[in-house]
Amino acid sequence: MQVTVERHDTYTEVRGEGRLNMAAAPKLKDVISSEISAGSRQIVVDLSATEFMDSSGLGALIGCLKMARQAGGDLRISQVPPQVLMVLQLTSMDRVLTPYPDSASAFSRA
Amino acid sequence: MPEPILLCADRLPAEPGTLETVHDHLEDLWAAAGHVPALDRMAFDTAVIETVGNTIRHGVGDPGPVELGMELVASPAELRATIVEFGAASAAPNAPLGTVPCGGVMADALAESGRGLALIRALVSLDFERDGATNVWRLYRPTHATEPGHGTD
Repeated sequence: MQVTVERHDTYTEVRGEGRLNMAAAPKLKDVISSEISAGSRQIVVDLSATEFMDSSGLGALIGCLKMARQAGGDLRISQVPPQVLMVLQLTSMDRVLTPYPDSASAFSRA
Repeated sequence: MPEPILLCADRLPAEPGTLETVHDHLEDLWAAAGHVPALDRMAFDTAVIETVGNTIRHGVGDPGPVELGMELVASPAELRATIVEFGAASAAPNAPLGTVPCGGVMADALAESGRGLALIRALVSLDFERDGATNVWRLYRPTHATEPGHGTD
């Protein structure tokens, strides 16, 4: 999985391209952890290019959400593809990680 | 009706990098089994990867490293996967024969792990068998070829 970061005025966008599984989950977590340490508080994970996510990938997102909240911020997800949405819904995690249609709208009504 | 498509792999190391190999095998399966609806592919992919991930995460070698075998079958009306852990300690040492190890209860809201088996059970029928020095996991899902839009992505 390729993980890229783009900092905007009000949020930091993290984009994961590829498969978010047991092998890739630590990488995503490291990148987001570094961003939070560097001062980012409002994180949006753009999942449009995440072709697959398993429970390890979901666990990484939850871990990052907790890190962001502990730092006084939040983490949201955008452009969620069907397989990722299926995993979120079957685990009821769509109630905690609410999907947004795009990154710009994720914190627009914060 | 299409013929059943069978795909086998053997002696895969039980390590995270093997997940990419399993993804590749699933893609090969779908390339050959165009009749399977997209929703069933997605569900089966997720259940197979979760099961293999579970064996990589929890499999304990007895005495050497665990190796994985896999058989994937796409029949006209069903999908089946058999995942075998060779040389593994029992995944259910104290459970009655035929019991699937661990509960299928979903983890608490902010837990970072513990959702794998519950997710698998939401997507497929799951059976477990201890056979000699191997753990055998069998996944089964009927396909829904009569639904509108089947076979498309």
